[in-house]
Amino acid sequence: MIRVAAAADLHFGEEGRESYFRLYADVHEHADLLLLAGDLTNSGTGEEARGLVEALRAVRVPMFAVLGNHDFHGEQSERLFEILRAGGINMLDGEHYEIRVRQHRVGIVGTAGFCGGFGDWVLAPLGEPEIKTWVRRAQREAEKIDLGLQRLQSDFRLVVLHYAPIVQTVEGEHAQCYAFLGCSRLAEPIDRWHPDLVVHGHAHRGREHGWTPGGVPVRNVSLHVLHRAYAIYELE
Amino acid sequence: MNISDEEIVSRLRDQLVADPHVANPDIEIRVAGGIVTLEGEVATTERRRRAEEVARQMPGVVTVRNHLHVMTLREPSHEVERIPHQEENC
Repeated sequence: MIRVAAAADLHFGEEGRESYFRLYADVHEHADLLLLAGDLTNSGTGEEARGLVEALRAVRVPMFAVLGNHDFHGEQSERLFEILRAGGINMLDGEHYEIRVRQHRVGIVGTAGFCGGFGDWVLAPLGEPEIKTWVRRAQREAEKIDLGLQRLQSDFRLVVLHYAPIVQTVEGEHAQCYAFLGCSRLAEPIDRWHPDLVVHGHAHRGREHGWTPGGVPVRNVSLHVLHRAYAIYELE
Repeated sequence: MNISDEEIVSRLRDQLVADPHVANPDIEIRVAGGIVTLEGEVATTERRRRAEEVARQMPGVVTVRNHLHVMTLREPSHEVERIPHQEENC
């Protein structure tokens, strides 16, 4: 059995959120690792990234994180990535890690993902070059998940995304927004490789629980959905 | 100059993202007859107040109904979901 803590949409730097971060100091009492599913910062600045590293300094379990759309907003995502990585957070952009938790090998794959809609309404690569670029981005993100999961032979396999791979955990948002909150292309490799758990954020008005068409548990761990500092999942 | 309700929504959405004291793309905006309703979560009472102020300053806005609430987080402990192991499908 392993215990996984997960949260998303921390938006470090947004005034008024400072007090949230003290709630992560005792995560080791409840979980073996902490997954952070994007929107780590509010505006995507280096200053916010450094502030987040400091705010999470007390965390005593391995942390794995992906960037979210807010982290890209400052147009310095590579710098953020390096600041966070240097600060002890294992950053994922298609990378995969394997760690040992007691007798178990735990594999983690992550990438931000992208939007584009779900199911029958998924955006197709047809028309203007910008549309094709959009779809290609989602396809590339799905390929990263596929490659990462293909390489992991772990006892437990976890996927971290920012964008939603299924519509179920987005429901609660306005239907007009769905296409901007995730993309079912991301669920294809998940159903090919059946990891134990997928977490994402981004859909602030969505719901926590969902499953891919193939039955893989997907959890929206946005703070706005959880209304607690992190969710804890016990995988057995 | 007449400004439609739809135009108020899109302009106000851009303003609420651009304003450094709000910077929030997730505020729900509804407009009917120039009456703006704001809903959703913000991090502080100051941001709640500022969002209303930005809305009030928009041309075409008659009044603002501020239904924004300030987000709070609970302690995380004791809420654990058990998830069974997935069999690898390959």
